[in-house]
Amino acid sequence: MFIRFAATRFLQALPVLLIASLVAFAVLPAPDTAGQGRGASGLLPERYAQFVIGAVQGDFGLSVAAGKPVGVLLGASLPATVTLITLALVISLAVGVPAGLAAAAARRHRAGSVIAAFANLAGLLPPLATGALVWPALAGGVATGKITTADNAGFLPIPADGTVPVIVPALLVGLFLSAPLIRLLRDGMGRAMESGFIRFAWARGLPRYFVFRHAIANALVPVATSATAQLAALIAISAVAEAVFHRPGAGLMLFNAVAARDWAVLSAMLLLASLTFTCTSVASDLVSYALDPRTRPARTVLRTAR
Amino acid sequence: MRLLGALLLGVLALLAFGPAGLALTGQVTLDAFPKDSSVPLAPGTFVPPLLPAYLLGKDPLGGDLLVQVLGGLRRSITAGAAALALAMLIGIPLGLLAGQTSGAASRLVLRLAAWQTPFPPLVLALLGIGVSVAIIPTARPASAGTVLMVIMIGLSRWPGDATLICRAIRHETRQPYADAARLLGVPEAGILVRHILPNAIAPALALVWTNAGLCIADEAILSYAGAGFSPARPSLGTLIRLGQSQDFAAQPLWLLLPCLLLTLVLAGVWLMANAAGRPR
Repeated sequence: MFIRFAATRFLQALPVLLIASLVAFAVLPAPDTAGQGRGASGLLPERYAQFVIGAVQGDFGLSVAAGKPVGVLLGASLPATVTLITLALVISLAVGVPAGLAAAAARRHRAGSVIAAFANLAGLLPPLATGALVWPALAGGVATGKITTADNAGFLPIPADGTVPVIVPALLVGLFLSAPLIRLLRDGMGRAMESGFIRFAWARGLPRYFVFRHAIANALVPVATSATAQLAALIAISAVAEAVFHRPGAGLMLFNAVAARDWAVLSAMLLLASLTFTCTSVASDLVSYALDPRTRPARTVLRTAR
Repeated sequence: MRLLGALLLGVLALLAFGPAGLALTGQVTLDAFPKDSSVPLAPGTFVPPLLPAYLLGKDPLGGDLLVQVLGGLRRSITAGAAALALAMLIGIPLGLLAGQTSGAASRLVLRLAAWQTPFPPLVLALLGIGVSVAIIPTARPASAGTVLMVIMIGLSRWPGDATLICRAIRHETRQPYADAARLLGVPEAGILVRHILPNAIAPALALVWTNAGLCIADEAILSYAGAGFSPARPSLGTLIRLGQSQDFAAQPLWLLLPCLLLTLVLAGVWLMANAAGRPR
């Protein structure tokens, strides 16, 4: 049953990858205008096949702005991005889960409202403005560059020396994303603690530990269902943090590729993004299938249509 | 909360679109300007008639900083509102269609939304801008970049609205009051208009405000990254970018002001969204 569900879910994701690969192919300059485009000979289907085969092997062509193969650039920048995203995820969970549970436990006390106020404040500050203000504070007001026009290559210049340590953007992203987690957990725990089955558990004289375990299991369900959106937000805001702090990474590459019209990089980022987000969505569906039996029959995301 | 948010947004809107802000759209010629400033004005400087020139000093390009920042606020709000309107214009009818019917059209809408949902809207909008510029061969004039950005933000946000509305409608049509109306012989369209929509107004308002904040934030980030407003017609995001590229210790206001205004706008919108989502 699980295998069948997983197989269907993968099959349903395939068209997205197909469309993404077609768009990524269309973005590349035509061989007659660019001259050195890959698959310079042959008909369109043949060139598309060559493009897909090359992409699968990690060959995305040459970046015009950097003058290097896109695969090499990606190999250099992806580890930094993965580090940032992982660290931000750990921070958001390490802050969000305990704070959310504490806020639920202390809902009628001052501590609860302090945590709620923190969640509101953290979710309210835009990462762009916060990051832009944190950076000069760290850099000590050092001049970082000159005004550039929008269409020049390297719109967001990467300073050779003044690279911010990864913990700074990770804290920014992690704290920003812990806010919705705190709210979800607080509301979920609050609802669970006031529901019938918890009252029954108290009445039955179950130890405090078991009662809370039941409540937490129920409060985690909305967290699991929003995991895809949270993960997507995590990746998007990490890209913003990379841009704001001028940290070399995949997010900065994407922003710079659009500003510098570096189509080979854009094409590779399109493939990478569609693969990443399709995988996170499939994975989170499989996780919620395994965790929550109620999502199993006809009520998964796939079959919202009754 | 609601009062505070409304007050904050009202003051900001007055600053951006009020007499001080609106006068900035036209270029004030040098001789029309009162000569009370000791600093000579750069040609092409926009000056509000009611305020002394260079109240907060010059901007990175030599213009009046206050005027520039208020203009950025106006562009940010306008672009955010336009993107929001587009997202709603697509999302609400499709959500109603998917929620009310159960045929092939409904399935298609939900399928498209399900395909798009895993992608973060910001990344999707950025990719969309890049792809459009790459595929459409015509050289874009300065304002086309802005229009393109607004369209892409709108397109990136519709699935959220559509699925939310669809889910809300399906939830409400199963409620006892809808069944009661059905038993009384009220047609489905009548149930939708007279019974379900009044119940859906509060969550819809919360949705509008939440989306407004997200659209304004996306606009700022895209403009910051050079994919939206150009430095010639800056929005708050462009101004943050310009301010960041300057020496912060020498000119802190260039960065502080746009960051502060962006935070205040988003805070106001967030307060409204929070108040709208809460039952009265």
